[in-house]
This record gives sequence, C-alpha cells and structure tokens, in this order.
Amino acid sequence: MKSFKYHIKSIEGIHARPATNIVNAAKQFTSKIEVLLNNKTVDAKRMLALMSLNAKGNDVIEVIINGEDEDLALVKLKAVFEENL
Amino acid sequence: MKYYGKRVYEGIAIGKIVRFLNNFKTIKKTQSSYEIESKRFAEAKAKAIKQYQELYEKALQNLDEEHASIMSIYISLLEDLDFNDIIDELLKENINAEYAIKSACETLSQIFLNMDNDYLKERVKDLNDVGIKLIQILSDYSPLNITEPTIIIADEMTVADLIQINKELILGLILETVSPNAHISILTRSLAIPSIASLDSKIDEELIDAIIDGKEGIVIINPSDIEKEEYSIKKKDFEEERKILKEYKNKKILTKDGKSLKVYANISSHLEIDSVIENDADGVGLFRSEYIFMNSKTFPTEDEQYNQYMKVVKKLKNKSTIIRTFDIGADKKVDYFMLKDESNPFLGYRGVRLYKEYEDVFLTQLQALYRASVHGELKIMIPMITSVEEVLFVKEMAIKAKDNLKQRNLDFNDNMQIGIMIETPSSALIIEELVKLVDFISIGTNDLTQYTLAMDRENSKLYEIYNPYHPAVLKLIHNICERAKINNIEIGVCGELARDEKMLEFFIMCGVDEISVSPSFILQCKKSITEINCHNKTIDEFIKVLI
Repeated sequence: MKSFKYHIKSIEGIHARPATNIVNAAKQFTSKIEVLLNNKTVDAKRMLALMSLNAKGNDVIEVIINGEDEDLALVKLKAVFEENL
Repeated sequence: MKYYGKRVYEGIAIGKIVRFLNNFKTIKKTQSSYEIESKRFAEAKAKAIKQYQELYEKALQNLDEEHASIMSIYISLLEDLDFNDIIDELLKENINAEYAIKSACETLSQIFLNMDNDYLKERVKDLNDVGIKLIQILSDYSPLNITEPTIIIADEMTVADLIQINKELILGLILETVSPNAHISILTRSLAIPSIASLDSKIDEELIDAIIDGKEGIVIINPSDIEKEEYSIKKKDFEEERKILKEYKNKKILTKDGKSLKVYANISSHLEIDSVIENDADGVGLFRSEYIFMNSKTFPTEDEQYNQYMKVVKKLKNKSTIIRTFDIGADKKVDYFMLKDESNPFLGYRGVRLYKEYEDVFLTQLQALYRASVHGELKIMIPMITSVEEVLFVKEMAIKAKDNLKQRNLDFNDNMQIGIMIETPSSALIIEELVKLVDFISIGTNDLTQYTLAMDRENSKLYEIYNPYHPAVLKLIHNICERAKINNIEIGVCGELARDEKMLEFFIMCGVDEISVSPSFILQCKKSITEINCHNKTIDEFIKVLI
C-alpha cells in the first residue's frame, strides 16, 4: 500500500475539470485508488463520487493506493494533483 | 389537424416531422427486456462519446479551450462508473433505456442539489445535458439521426441547439412555445427556414408528417393527400418567386426615374452574416448587440465582444456595419443587469438611459467596438435617444474609451462614425439640434409609431386601430428627413415599415439613404425599388394616397 497527503491549493477544489484529469489518470492503473477527506472515502476512478467529496481549497486529502502498479500510480497521481489542484 | 401560430418566415414546408427533445418532459416508462435495453444504452453511449470526442477535437482546433473542457467533462460523466451502475440497476427492472436515463439523471441531480456546494449544483445541468444527448440518440426520430430534410418541432429550442443541426436537413421549424421575437426566431428568419412560433395550442398527436404554411401561420399535422397537393403547388409558386428575386443580386438598384435607396440587413448575431452576404445586402444597418448580452451568463468581456464585432466587420469588407449599442430594458430581460420590473417598460428605464449607471459596461462595449473599427467600415448607433444631453454624454464616453485604448497601445479608428436612433417623438422634434452632434441617424419606425400614436403595438385590443400609415407618423418621418438633410447626414430607416412596399416610394421621396430589413427580405425590397417611379409627386399627395 502507498499513500500521500495533498494540500489543495486551488480555491475551487476538486471541480469537474480536475476531477476528469484525476479519473483519467487513475483509470490507467489496475491498483485500487481511493481519496479520503474527513472520514469520507471515494473511488478515484469515479468522477461523480470524486466531485461529491466536496474537497475545496485548503483541504488536505489523502490518496491511498493498493495494487501491483501502486508505485507508478503514486508518481503519476502526485503529478496530476500538483498540476491540477 | 390544423394548428395556428405566429409567422416567423413565410416559406412552405411539406415533409416528415420529428420532435426535438431537450428536456425529459415527454419521456414515459415502458416495458422491455434487460438484454435489449442494455444493448441500446451501450450503443447510444458509444455514439454520444464519439460525438463529444469530435466536438472536443474541433474545439481544440479552434482554440476554444472552454468548450473543449466541457466536452471532456461530458465524456467523463458518460464513462463514470456510478452513472453506469445506477442505470444498469434500473434497466434490470426491464424498463426502456430512455426512462432509466431520465430516472438516473433525476436521482443524481437530487443528490447534487442537496449538497452544500454551489459548484455541484451547477453541474446538474451538465448531467442533464448528457442525459438528454443520450435520449436524443436513442429516439428513432431525433433530429440528430435525420438523413433527409425534415421538419423539426420543439417545445423550446435555443440558438445553441439549432446550430448543431445540419442546416441543409432542416425543412422547416415549429417552435411551440418560443416567441417570434426570440433570438432563435430571428436567426431562423434570416436563414429563410419556413417556420412558425408560439402555437395557440400544444401538439399531442402522433407525428408522422406535416405542412408548414409560414405565411398564414398554419401548421397541419398528418395532412391529407389533397392538402399535400394543394401546398405542393403553393410551394412551387413561392420557389419561383424566390428564383426571380435572385436576379436582383449584384445588380445596381435604381428606381425607374434613376433614384437610389440602399438596402441593408438587420441582424442579431454573427451567425446571420452568411445570409447577409448571400442576399446581397448593401451593408448591415442594424446589429442588435444586446443579443450578445442575452446569450451570455454574465457581462460579456471586451475580448468576447471584440471577437464577434470583428467577425462581422471583416466579412463585410468595405460595406458598412452599423452596430447598435446594447438596448436593454425591463421587457428585454437580461438577469445579471438586475433591472426591476416596471409597470410601463416601454416608457421606462431602457436604452441609453442605462448607460450612466452601467458606465463600465458601456465603456467596455465602446472599447470593443473601437478595437473592431480597424477591421472595416464600422459605425455605432445609440438607442432610445431623447435629448442633447444624452448625445453629449455618449460622446464623452467615446473619448474615455479611446483614451483607454491609447494607454493600452491598441489601434482604433479615431473617426469611427457615431449615429443615433430616432425612435421617439422628442428626438424627432429636436432633430435640428441632434443632427449637428452626430454622423448619421436611423429612424426606428416600430417604436416611433407606437409612441406617436400612444398605442402599445403588442396590445391585441388595439390591433384594428393601430395604423402604421397614420398621417402623424408620416409627417413626423418626413419632417425628420427634411431637417436632417439640411445638415447633409445619412438617414436610415429600420423597423417593419422599412420593408413595406407601399412605403419605399415615400422613403425615397423623403430623401432616405438606406433601409434595413431582415436578410430574407432584401431581394424583394430591391425588386420593389426597381419598379418604383416617383413621378415627381409631392409628399402631401403621397400621404393622401396612402390613407
């Protein structure tokens, strides 16, 4: 299992546009990828679920990755978060 | 069955009819099997993704990032596992795919609306757009599936909906609850699509084929063979007339006694430019810029406006384009202006009256216009003028706008002409003072008539007595022209009277330089002009004849 925490910089948080990019990135991997915020956990491969997390600017979310390609996934997802949020 | 509505464009259409769906209102639940419906859903989904993908690529090519990202969001929604799971569960109840989609969208919308997140609440629209797209694809009779010219009927429809359909395949348009003055109606008229708006009653019967009689405002659903025959003949006659009119393209237009009258076009968006050029307009006499504001969710930026103005001006090359600055009031509601309801909107806070309070908005528009002025023959026109002070204010603002552009090192035509609309009795009566301050005038006959007669032109009770040829109106127009001519400025006429054949001779005698009409009426006007012989009549004689 791999994980990382991320401090959302973008004021709007996880909007449709960044959500799309996260989902597209996550789908490339077979690992289970989840995003956690305030005791709520959602599947990073599901766009509506991601948006319903209601993650906003200044929130600290945690990304949890479990699977064969978890190392690669970690690198890629970190990059996607940096770029979009 | 026959239905009646308001005329939008007078052509005739006979053919198959399909309903354009853009809401879930008419979707009903029916029984089916999971195997069939899940297959239908999968196919529709694949088609939708393909269409969005194409639009995504097109948007990227046009450097339209915003549109591209919306397409990308739509694709993500379609592929979303939750969305697909909910629909799959519903389909297992052996119901039709359309209803499953409707239900899924409604359920998800509710969830979003209940969340404390404004952004998500707005995404409900995206979700519904995707749902509607799927249903349109599933519907055997969707306009998106038409392969031959077809009549389209819609409960509501917007310009954005219309431009997605291949124009060649639209035989005719029936807009059940749309006003004939709505933007889509104006566009439809410009594109010469036989159409009718604002039907007296809703159409509930099964839709197979139909006839549109644009001139009489009649729609016949599932007509008899005799009716089809009858209208076939009428249609041929109409097409013959249009063919004859084409001969007046690219011709020098003069009356029999050698007088000229230019024929310009009225438009509400750059989408009508092709129609303007195709109908050989001598220029654009009225570009209703408020439609840019009406089609925007908030005040359009200087760049957004500049792009639209530039498109029009460039395409017209060395022909004039007259853009009227935004003409908004309580009756032409634009939400973000936050105008209060009025009991007398026609006599209220509208046109130039708003410009002091909305100075920033006006300056932004002026700056956009001045920037566009380097691309061609652009002129601007101010609506609803009633005093000298208003004109002086506008000119002051023009200087401010130019200073702003100078500071930003942006080019503009320093001598861009500024004109005013003469559409009130007050401006008509002080015309001598006004013409000294402006470069041209345009007489707005619709409003001038109603203010002079003290009658609401939309009041059906006054229909019988509303006389657009009232001697008071004609005298006023004649007066305006006489006084304006002393200062040698260009006089235009826009409004319904401009395309009235009986009035063309009158306008020529008054010394009007140009009339401005909807693009589909231009050639007819040109033909009429060539048939006029002024016979050196006097104005009084003319007025007597008209009444």
